[in-house]
Amino acid sequence: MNSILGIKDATKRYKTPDGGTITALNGVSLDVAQNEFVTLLGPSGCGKTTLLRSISGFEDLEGGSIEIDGAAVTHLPAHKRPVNTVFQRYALFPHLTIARNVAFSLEVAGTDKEDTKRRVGEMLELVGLAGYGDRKITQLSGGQQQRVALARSLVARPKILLLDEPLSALDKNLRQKMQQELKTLQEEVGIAFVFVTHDQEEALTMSDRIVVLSGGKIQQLGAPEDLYRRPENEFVAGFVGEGNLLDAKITSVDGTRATAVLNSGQRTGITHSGLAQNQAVKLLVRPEDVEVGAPSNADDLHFKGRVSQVFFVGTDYLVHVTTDSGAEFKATLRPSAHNRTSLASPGTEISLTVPQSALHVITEEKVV
Amino acid sequence: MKIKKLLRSSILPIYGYFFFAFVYAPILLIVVFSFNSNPVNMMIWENFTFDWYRAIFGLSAATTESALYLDSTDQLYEAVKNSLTIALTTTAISTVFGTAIALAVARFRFRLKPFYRALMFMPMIMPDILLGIALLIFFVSVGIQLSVVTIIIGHCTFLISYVFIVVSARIADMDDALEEAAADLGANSWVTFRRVTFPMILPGVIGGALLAFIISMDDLVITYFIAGVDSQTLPVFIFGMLRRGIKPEINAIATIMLLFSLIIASVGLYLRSRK
Ligand SMILES: Nc1ncnc2c1ncn2[C@@H]1O[C@H](COP(=O)(O)OP(=O)(O)OP(=O)(O)O)[C@@H](O)[C@H]1O
Ligand SMILES: [Mg+2]
Repeated sequence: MNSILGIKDATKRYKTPDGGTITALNGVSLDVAQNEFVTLLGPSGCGKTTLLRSISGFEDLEGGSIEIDGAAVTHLPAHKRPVNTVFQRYALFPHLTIARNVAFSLEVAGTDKEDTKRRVGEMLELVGLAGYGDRKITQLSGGQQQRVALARSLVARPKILLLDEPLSALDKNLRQKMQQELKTLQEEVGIAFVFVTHDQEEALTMSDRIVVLSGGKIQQLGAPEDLYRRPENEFVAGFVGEGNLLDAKITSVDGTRATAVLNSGQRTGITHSGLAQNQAVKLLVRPEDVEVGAPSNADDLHFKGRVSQVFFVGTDYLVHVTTDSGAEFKATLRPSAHNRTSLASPGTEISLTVPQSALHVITEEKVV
Repeated sequence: MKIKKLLRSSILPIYGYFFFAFVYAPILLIVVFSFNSNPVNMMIWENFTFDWYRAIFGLSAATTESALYLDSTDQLYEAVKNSLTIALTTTAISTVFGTAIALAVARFRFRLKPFYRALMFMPMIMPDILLGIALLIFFVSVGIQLSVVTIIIGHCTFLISYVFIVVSARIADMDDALEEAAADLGANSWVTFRRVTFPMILPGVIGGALLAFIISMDDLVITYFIAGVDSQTLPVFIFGMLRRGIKPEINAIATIMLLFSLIIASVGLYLRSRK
């Protein structure tokens, strides 16, 4: 792996006005490969912006180090780092035309006029704004401003492009369009993108890898599918996608095979290494893996309950069920083409099956 | 409902006309009077004339009735020259310092910042007469001869704070992220200032400078205290004329000053509207 960005043990604390301290980054280590699209995902205040600003040079780390393309930049000021940022509110220069906005980094670097003009033209073309060069930025829509911001930060060919929630100010349709454009653009220019979002769907669609942050710590780092299918802890399971977490206790262990018993008394066999007798674990069940009806396999789990709420979410129905033992259970049910009537209505009895293969074992608590 | 409608359709506009009449009628009168040839009672219209303008420019001899002494055209020119010298110098100094302080207060972190900001507001709310006396006592006790220089120093003490306030408002309106964006794109702090910060705050700087110029041109109270015998400014000169009675030449001088102020204000408004 050709690493373009290497962060080791990054630590950052802020002082609060009342004299306390907030740990915004707590030993964050991360390697980003050339051409990689990495997303920092996490709830508000988890340290995403702080991490991004440490890379761009606007925050000084308290501990740890940052390398860009093999060179240590930990204490280099922002203007000397070969990275560029797309700011959340774009931060375009209102007193300059679009072309001069895009040309800014080249002009500052003293690139000659002809070269600057050519590269600005190419860049505007790439983002679909050819011919807009002489306009003022106030004459642009949100999506167009977004593209100018992208062009401005890509024109000097930075080694890494940092993006802090660049799509959060756009409406949903435009956001989805820009998500695809961004992804295409990234593949075209072949620069590593470090992208910040708190929208898990956005993260899942766009990223090669996702870093889930909470409380200034990396909770999990992996491909979108890994995060979704195999979350390492309760926090990730709850933050990425919808899910049901079932409490269970290990009753017997035989190598990587174990038997777990649920609160309801049901038993099932699970496969997971490093389990111990009497250990409390959680079993994650994604709503789309739940089936209606009685189980055909002895190791499948079976729940009877009453439908409490039904949400139509486009293709599927998201059904909330209160089981007979009093637990809340979520299932997404997809109607078939032959039968478009709702599969369940509030108040009706329902019988649900969770195939054994859909169970994912989580042994770690939420790491805060 | 009906009352509301009536209010909106007639009473409010009438109130508006009264307001503007109240503000502008006296000024308009001065302009009209300045062209009235009646030398005894300017309230009674006689004929249209440029005589008073001629008189202040020394083109026609002053009569005994005149507000001007025989040689006072030279004094008037001297006063205008002093006023312009003082206003231009003061504007330059207070614009540079006021802008620099506004930038420092907005951008740097230091102890007692709120206190410092409050200190910058003080000269604006301080009564003129107090400032005038204080400056006079200061100059006298330090042993500086009252002259154009003391007036410049005196004006700077409070005009810096006017510029500071105008420029600070402009800086507060500016998105902090712009300077970060410039740094991010490779600009060091000087280049960031030259290419981003300064162009962004320029309308505020120009606004502050025009304000400083107008206030300096116009100040009477403070200047009166710290002006030396041979360093009269235009307002001080006019005030002196008034003590010998309100004569038609004053209307002409006032009208010229009005025209001058309007031009400066228009330039200011134009620059502001361009953003
Ligand atoms: N300049 C600062 N001074 C003090 N505390 C700060 C400062 N900047 C950030 N923090 C704190 O550090 C923590 C992490 O902030 P950060 O901005 O990195 O969060 P974030 O993940 O970007 O959140 P959001 O999604 O809301 O943008 C938060 O608790 C925040 O309150
Ligand atoms: Mg943030």
